[in-house]
Amino acid sequence: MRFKDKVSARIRDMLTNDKLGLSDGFMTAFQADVTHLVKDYFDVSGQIDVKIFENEDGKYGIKISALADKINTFETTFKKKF
Amino acid sequence: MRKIVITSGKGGVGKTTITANLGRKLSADGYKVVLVDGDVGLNNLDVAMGIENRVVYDISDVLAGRCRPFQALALDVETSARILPSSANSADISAQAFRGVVDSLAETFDFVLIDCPAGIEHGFHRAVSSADEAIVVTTPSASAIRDADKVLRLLSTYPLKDVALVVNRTRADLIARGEMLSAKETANILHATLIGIIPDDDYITVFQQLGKTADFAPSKRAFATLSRNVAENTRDVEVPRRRWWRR
Ligand SMILES: Nc1ncnc2c1ncn2[C@@H]1O[C@H](COP(=O)(O)OP(=O)(O)O)[C@@H](O)[C@H]1O
Ligand SMILES: [Mg+2]
Repeated sequence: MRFKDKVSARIRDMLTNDKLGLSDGFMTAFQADVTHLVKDYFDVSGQIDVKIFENEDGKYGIKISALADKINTFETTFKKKF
Repeated sequence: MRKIVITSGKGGVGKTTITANLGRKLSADGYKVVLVDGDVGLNNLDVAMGIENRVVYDISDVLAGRCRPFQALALDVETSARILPSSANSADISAQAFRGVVDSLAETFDFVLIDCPAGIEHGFHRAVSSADEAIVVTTPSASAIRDADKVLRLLSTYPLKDVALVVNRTRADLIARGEMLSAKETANILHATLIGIIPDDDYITVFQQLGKTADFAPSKRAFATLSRNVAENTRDVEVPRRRWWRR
């Protein structure tokens, strides 16, 4: 990565954090809720990564990445018979 | 007619310099221009314009009825632009009163340029709420961009007709080496409309000490482009080239 691309990425992250107040409250709460939700559906192995970034056109990208050993099946995820 | 505030959030990024140079260029091009010092606490527009010894009245005298608005205007040393100075006495002027003065000047002048203080407190509100348009100044540095972003968000809560961006102190050599963000990249990050790119130019600081603008300064062309964009509502920015020689 070129030096100025690193700078640009850093500034973009900074501005996104400023807007969402991500520094403390927001990110911790969001991460906890997402972890909770994903663990209902998957047998997650390891950490769930949550990242929010701003792209060129001013929209927010939300990336959730995790690895799972198994998909949990429970009542509501069964296919409905019509 | 047009009331434009020059603001930035962060101090020292070039608001006063850009107000002074833009004002002089618009005036040299034949427009009737008045520059209002809205940076009441740290007023230095008078110094940038070389008129600090000519100031008789300031905006607080106008509001106290000690003189009429036009009597308080000082004449620029280089062009026919006028300056309405401020002083420490102007600190508690209300936004309403400030706006009244700006409006009365706007009846006679083509451009009222308001030099805004740093920060986002009362002085900021006073300057911004008296304008119809805003020019946000930033440098390509992380901290200036961060403050510009805050100011842009804040400005979106005011009923302004137009908000545009000027990137100041760009260095073609650093940009070419990928060590500084270009003005366009800076504007992209801020999702702002770029109307001027002013190169870092030692002559600005050197001549500012005399309240003057160097005729041969490398930034001269950049101010001409900015001035044209402001006057004609265009957005044709020109990337300053590295100069290999000096006259
Ligand atoms: N493009 C530039 N190149 C070199 N020096 C500059 C440039 N713009 C501003 N400066 C210098 O930076 C300092 C701060 O500028 P100023 O206009 O007073 O900032 P502000 O009004 O935003 O606080 C001044 O000494 C000025 O001469
Ligand atoms: Mg200033």
